[in-house]
Amino acid sequence: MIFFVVMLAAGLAFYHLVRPDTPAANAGKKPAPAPAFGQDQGGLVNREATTNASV
Amino acid sequence: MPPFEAFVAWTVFAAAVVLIIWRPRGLSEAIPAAVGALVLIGFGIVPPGDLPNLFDIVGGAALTILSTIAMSIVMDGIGVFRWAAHNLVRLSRGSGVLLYWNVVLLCFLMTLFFNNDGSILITTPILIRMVSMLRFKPHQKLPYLFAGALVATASSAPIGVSNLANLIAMRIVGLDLGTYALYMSVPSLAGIGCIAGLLFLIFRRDIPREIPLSSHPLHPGPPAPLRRGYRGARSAGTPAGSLPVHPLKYDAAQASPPEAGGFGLIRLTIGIVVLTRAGFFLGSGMGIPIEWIGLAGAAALVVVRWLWIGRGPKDLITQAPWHIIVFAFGIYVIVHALHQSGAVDAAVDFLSRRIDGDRFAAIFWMGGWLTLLSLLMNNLPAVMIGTLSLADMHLEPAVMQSAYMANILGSDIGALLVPVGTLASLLWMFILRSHRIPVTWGKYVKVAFAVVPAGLAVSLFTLYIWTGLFF
Repeated sequence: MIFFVVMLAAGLAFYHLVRPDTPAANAGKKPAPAPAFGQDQGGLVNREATTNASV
Repeated sequence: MPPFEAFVAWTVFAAAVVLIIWRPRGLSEAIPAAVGALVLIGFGIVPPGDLPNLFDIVGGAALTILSTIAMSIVMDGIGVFRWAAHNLVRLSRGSGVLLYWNVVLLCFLMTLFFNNDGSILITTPILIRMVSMLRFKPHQKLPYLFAGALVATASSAPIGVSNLANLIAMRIVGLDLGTYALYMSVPSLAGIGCIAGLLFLIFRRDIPREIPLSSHPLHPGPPAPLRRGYRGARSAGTPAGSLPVHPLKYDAAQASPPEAGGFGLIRLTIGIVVLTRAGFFLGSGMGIPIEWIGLAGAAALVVVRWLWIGRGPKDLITQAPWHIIVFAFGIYVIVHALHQSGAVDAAVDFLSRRIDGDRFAAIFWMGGWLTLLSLLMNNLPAVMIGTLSLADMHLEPAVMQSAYMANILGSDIGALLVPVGTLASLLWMFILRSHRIPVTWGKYVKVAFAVVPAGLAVSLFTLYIWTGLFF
């Protein structure tokens, strides 16, 4: 049970780091685009270049 | 086992390890593992009757990791992680030092909520893009990239579900998730903290005091990574090879459209991932197999996305590394054969005499032994061999469990000394190379030797003190 709570707390920290944070988001509106320097990075797409290396 | 069969087992093992690390022409690591297992079954070295038991140990672990990767694919497709780099810079409030610690925290949490390889795959391109957009000089990029790699990989130790090897080792010794986390979380965190702190000290002169927060002339991003389906800046209506806006000054008109779904979907998916991960601990305490919880979480994410934006599971079917199941099973069959051949008997005998019922000796000998094995053969087969060897030592429970935990620390933290120690490190080197960031093996080893031995020693010593409170 203690680790259930610990993981929930860690989840809050995780959300704090990756959450969308713009006035539109805070107002609950339709999202603005993601920050530009994330546009072409979609990290997991790299898996294809590494031919299923994700193990 | 007769000498000929032992020779075959050794040969198959050595060939499989070399091919898995080398991966000529992008060969999937599942192929040498599967072929090796088939050869051993064909020679009768592994009786077919053993296979159901072996699959029982490996299957659940592989499905758990597969479900985690499925979750990260869904979240990546929604665009969740695109906000991470933006937030890292925003939360750093113009301080390069704060940015360093935010990177450490992000990489730690990514591994905690996904797995070590997924964390490397997702965060490394984000960090590369971030340090490029902030116009860091080459030497200023290294602290962030090394911290990302070493912390993300070492962070698979604390909770046991972030690493295929740890899950398999837990199944071998029949340890539940809660007990694992109870014993391992504190020692692992001490080791990770030590590594992050030492990296900070080593690179303190390279970490910029201030990072630019105001808009500045555009800076071309790094070359496009080597991948199919690349959706570069051109798709956003901007010249290829450059990014249109500063990360903190993004322009809605110029940037590419969001992956749809809105902030509500992003929040909901993060909530499902966190609840699934936390649910592992609740469910395993009730005897529910953790792979069921993982699969339920992945299914929930897919259903939510389907209901929200109408996108089905096609991307999961095409992108998920289904071969993990074959890979893990194949490797375990090979290691089982090696173990049956008596190949590790000499090591078991040597270690048993050194340990001699002493918990302190057990922790440091097993941590060191697993580090050495991981450096020679990669940490997945190493941790399997180490765990099977422990079972042969007939140690008393307290010493056995301490040695098992040290086993994991050696394979998760000690293995970081060289890139071949973990597949995640190899993956990191590959991603850097594809972005033309010059980090040689020599450079990696130099940095790793400065921080990893101390991190391992701190985690092993903390393990001795911490588990002493329970035994």
